Amino acid sequence: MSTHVSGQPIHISKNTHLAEPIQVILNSSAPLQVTLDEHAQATLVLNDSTHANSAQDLHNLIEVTLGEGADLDFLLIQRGETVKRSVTSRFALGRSSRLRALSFIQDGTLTKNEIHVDFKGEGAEASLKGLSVLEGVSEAYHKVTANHAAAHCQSVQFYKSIVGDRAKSGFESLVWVHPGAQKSDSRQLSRNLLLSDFATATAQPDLKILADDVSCAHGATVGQLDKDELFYLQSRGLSKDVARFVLTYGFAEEILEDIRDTGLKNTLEALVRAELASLLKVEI
Amino acid sequence: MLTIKNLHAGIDGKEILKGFDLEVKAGQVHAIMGPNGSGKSTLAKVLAGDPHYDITAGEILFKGTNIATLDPEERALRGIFLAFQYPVEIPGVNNASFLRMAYNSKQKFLKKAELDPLEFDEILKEKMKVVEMKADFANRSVNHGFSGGEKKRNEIVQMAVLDPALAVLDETDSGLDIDALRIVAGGVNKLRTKDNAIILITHYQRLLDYIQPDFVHILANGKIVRSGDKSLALELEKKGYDLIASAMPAACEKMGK
Repeated sequence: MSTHVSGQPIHISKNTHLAEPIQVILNSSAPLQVTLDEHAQATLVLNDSTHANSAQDLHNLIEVTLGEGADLDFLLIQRGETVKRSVTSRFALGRSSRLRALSFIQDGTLTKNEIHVDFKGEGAEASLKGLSVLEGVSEAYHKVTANHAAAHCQSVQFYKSIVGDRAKSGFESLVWVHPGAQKSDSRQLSRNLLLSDFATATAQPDLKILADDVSCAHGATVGQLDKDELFYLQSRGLSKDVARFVLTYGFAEEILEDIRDTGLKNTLEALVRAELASLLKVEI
Repeated sequence: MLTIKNLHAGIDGKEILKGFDLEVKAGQVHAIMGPNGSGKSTLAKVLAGDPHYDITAGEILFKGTNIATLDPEERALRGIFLAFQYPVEIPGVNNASFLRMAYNSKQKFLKKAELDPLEFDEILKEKMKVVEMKADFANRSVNHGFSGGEKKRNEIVQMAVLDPALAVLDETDSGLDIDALRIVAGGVNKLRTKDNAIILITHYQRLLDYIQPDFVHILANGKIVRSGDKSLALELEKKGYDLIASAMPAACEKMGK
């Protein structure tokens, strides 16, 4: 993986396919410009965890432009206990481009993650996923806007949170289908798992539709581990604690399972496993 | 192996099993049949330790120990297995790692060596053959997106991996077409030995054409009203549950109650 210095723009030229992910450490508040020209392909990993426990608040703006047919995997990791931070990522999607964005938040006094997608050309697709694993008194908020300004575009949002102790999770999402953006296809789904009686999660999926031939679906759930599922695992010999861990990990894995870079997928899965083991107080 | 004495159990304060008795020895297959609401599934859940159900009287002796108050995992580790009527879907957890965890829990309990993924893979491959599971099964999420037949077959794979002393199959035949029924029943027959015992809970005689029971019991209103050999199931198929139910008072009298 190549490491990029924050502040310098990233430019992937036409038809270039990067074999290795680019890693960006977010260690200053300078905005980051990312441009993928026509049919370029890249994986970008942004990590603010190096400053995880600094006293300084972090604010970052990331502006991404995808040219026609460009393809980007975008992974944003926000971790650490004491910090306050916010990252705003704005994406402009050209014709038939593909974006797969995944935001992972672990703990933090106050974390805001804002994703804004503008569909500029027809036939573009965005898969937007998020996972928050929160313990203690952490608070994390995902805010998503999908701006369907061009026809035949698809946005799929799938966000989950696992909230323990007295932590708080929020999901706020707006899909805006502009006049003329026919055949827009959008989905907004937020699922939240509360591991304690004092944990809270809120979900607000909203729609603003100004075209008449569209398919838009949204849903949200907030709940606890299912007793029937726990019993099923226990009946196979797993202790209650391990059964809770397995179900909670399975809940998270649904967000992680489609990460295409195997190395990144393994790293993130190991991170989530360790965090959940700590949250559920089990040894794995 | 299993002795159930005067078992009373129910859910949400409603008594469903009302003085249930059963004796099962190693090597035996017992079929328990009965109309809807007779208490068949309650029996299955209570044996496995479903916390939704309460035992209000009686005991369940398994290998000489009363297991009525043990947690579900304790019972599983001691050798009880329930094949669920409605197996639970667990997205995000693949069959191979789930089964290895279950297998290793048991190994640990028996103070035997736990297996790493590669070692376990060999075992799983063999066990999957029991019910003709396709190779991709191991990497799919537990029951997630499985057809009804695949879920029931998965229960039998789990049974094969965990090798229980006592397996309780709760309506394993329900929702299966004839080919799937043949595969599932064939799997159960392969796992049948002189050292283990099986309780088949079923609504229909059909399953018993494939898995021959040593004993057939008819459950009505929370207790066994008739017991016999496999010919009882055929009689039941011919006469229907209504006739058996109407014969209940006589049956109860005969049992001295």
